[in-house]
Amino acid sequence: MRDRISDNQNILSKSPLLISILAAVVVFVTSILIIEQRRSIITTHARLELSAEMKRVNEELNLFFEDMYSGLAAIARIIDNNGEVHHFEETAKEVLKNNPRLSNISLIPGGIVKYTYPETNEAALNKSILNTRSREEVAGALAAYHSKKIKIAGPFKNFANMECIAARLPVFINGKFWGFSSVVIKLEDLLKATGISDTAQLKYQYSLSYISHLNQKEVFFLGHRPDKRQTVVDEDVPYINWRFYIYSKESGIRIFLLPAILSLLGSIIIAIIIRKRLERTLRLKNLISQKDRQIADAEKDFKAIFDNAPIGLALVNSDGVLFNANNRFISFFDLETSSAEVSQHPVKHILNAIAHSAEESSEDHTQPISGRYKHINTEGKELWINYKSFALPSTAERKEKYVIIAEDVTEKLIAEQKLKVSEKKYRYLFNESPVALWEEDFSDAVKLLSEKGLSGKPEKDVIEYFNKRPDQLPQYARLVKVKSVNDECFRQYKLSSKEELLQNLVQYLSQEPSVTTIKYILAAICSGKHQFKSESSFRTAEGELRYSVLSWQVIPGHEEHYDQVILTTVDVTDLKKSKEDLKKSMEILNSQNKRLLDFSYIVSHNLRSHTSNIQSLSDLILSTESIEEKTELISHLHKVVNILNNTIEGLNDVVSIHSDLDVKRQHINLKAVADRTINILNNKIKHKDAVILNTIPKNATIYYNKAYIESILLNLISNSLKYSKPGICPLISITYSENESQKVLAVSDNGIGIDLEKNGHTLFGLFKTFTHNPDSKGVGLYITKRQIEAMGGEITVESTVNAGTTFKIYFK
Amino acid sequence: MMNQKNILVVDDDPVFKLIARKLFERSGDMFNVAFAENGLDALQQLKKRIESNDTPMPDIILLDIEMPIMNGWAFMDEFIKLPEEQTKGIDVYTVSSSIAQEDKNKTASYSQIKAYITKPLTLDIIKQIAEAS
Repeated sequence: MRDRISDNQNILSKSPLLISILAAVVVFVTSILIIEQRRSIITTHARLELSAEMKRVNEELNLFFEDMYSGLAAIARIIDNNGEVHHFEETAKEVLKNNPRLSNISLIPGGIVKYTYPETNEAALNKSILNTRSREEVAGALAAYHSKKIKIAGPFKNFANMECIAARLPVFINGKFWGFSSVVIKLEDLLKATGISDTAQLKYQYSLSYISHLNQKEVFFLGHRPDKRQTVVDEDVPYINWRFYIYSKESGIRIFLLPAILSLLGSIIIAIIIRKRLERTLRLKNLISQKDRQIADAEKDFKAIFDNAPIGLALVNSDGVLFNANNRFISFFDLETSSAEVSQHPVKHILNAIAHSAEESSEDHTQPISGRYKHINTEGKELWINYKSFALPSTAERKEKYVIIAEDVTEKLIAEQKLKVSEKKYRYLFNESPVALWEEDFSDAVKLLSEKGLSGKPEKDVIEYFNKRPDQLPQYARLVKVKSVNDECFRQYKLSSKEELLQNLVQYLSQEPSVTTIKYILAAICSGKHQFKSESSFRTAEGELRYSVLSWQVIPGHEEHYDQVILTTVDVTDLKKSKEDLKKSMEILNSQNKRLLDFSYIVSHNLRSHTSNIQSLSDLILSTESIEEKTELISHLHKVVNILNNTIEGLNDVVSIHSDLDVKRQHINLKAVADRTINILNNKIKHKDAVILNTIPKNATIYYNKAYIESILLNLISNSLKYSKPGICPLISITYSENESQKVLAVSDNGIGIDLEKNGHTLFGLFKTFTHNPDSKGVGLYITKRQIEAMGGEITVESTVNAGTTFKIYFK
Repeated sequence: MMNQKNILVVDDDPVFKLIARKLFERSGDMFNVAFAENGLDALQQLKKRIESNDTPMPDIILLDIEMPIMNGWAFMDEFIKLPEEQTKGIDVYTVSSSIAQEDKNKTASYSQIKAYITKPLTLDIIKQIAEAS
């Protein structure tokens, strides 16, 4: 079938134009033949009609000419042999009576009109017919004379100016020309009598012509020369040099050309219609062919899909006959072929289910049914098959068929089983985890970020955005859905249950510092991150600020919507505090270590300088023989040993400061301590003639170690005495000031001062001395500073060389 | 006498100065010894020698580190500012009781310091210095 369509299509497809042209030609040629045939019949018929008319007219004409002949003969008889004319009028009258078609009778002796009847033609009397206006009349008369026969000439206008036809008979008497006898008929009478004058009323057209006696040319005096395309009948008129034409009014164009043109147009129209039809047909054929191919391709594709589908597909009828099954289906049920009797086969189980379902819902057979079927294959392996079946609608030609879709879900079931176990494990681990776990859904927050045009922006831009609009953060916080939390979460918030936490969570999350954490999470989302870690903080239900390490991770597969996010928080507040404590301890330890190292260097240096002197002096003593020198050297050795002893004593003081780790404090009246110190130094003050001003208020008290404050004041006041400026009265003032934030004790003098630019940095160093004062040991200020710092205070110095020094003690 | 070396001992410790004087005496007439109390004193002495031009510049300076008023390092910072043609022939030896590595390392930052001598100063060391100069 398809081949035939294809063949036809080939012919058609070659050229609808050619076919339409051929059809048009055939139609046109056939039409032309028919038209020609018609024309031939019409023409023949017309010719017969015309011939009959011709005959009639000729007969009428003959009557006129016969009248003319008979009239001429009658009038000629009245001329006697002498040429005399007798009884002209009576004869003429008689002749006209017998030949009523004649209108005038004349006798024309010698060519001059001498007799004429009736008198209406009197104008012609005595006129020569051989010399008239009408040359045709003259020529006719001459022709009659020469031929000695009757000659009818005309039409022409006679002397009375009437269109007429004249017949002349030359009369010879005794062989001698006498003249002419003449009769005239009116052209009008002739035309009227023959009925050819009023052509408008007739179905035929008439033409009359004469052959000129002058030049033999045909001259038409009625009508015109007929068209050759018209049907014409013509004949010479007897007695006269006339030719008579009769022809049909209907032109050849109307008979032939017009129908031919119409048939041509018709053919063209037919050709166009045929072409359109053919083209439409061709298009339809092409469309059908294209659809045919598409169907074939679709069939092929469907077959390939059907055969290679990862699910089993089969077509069966209710009797259990398998029409078709794909490879998967065959392998599921261990069938041997794709078409088989399965009534004894496990597939029957499914069919039974279908039949059962069909009975239950008799109204709707196409409603799919589904179920699960356990199948033991030939290898004894247990397979779980999920099937779905629905009926294809039955038609008159086709019994009802069922489609079975079968899927091996064994692995899926095993996986589901495993998933359930793993889910259970996950839930257990989730709940029992020592780390707080939060299962959250950020999808709504992500949508809002997208709406605000923040998605895809760099983290710092997003953070900046929210820094400018912090009031927006609680809105985002409320959009975060907490799906699940574990026990550690509520423990972190110092609550007693998950429910309590979830109830208050929105409130906790939408306030500081949690919103700040949310800000960083939102920034991470915008920059496309799916995980990050950061330090964070939160407030417990009691309002305590706690620090945590937060880890945020989008579950794989949820990266697009952020609808499954696991957040872990570990409370590191205690750890952080321990670390800080440890850091402080380390700092103290390092500082103490350094001090200890410095101290050891200082001690080593000082001891070495003395011991090396002792060694050198001993060597010199041993190597000299001079008693005097020995004595000198020994005295020096004695001095060095004393100095060494002092140094070691100083070291004892220093060590005692360093070893007093837990010194006792008490409320001390500062003025009283200062007075006591001044009292101790009384001898030295007197020796120096110094003035001491103690302006400390009586009620000034400090919470301090008693021994330390005594030692500090003793050191500072004795230093002021020690470094007094020679030549002026030493003035030492002890002042105290107190405000809300600090208590300050100051000891000022007018002594030699200290060049702080040079020695400021070593002023409080151990064994640092700047003068040649033999009492300087370089221990006092070192101990003073250590004691003040041990009490948590601070000591500063202001000094001008040669002007004095002020030490200020700031109590904690 | 022409080969006598001019030595300037800079130290605040009177005992060390006594010992140094005794040791130089015992090493013969090789040395002409002068003393300074501290860095500032030494610097003033050097400047005076440059200005007056009647006392030659020392060939050797024995410099203590720990001194009041101006310590050894502060002296060195001023010493290198003196006119180079006056100081180029001077060998400086630091003499200290300190065994701190920091002090030893610091000597390397001054090209004029030939060596770091740890006290006590002995006759052998003086001989070595004499040989090196």
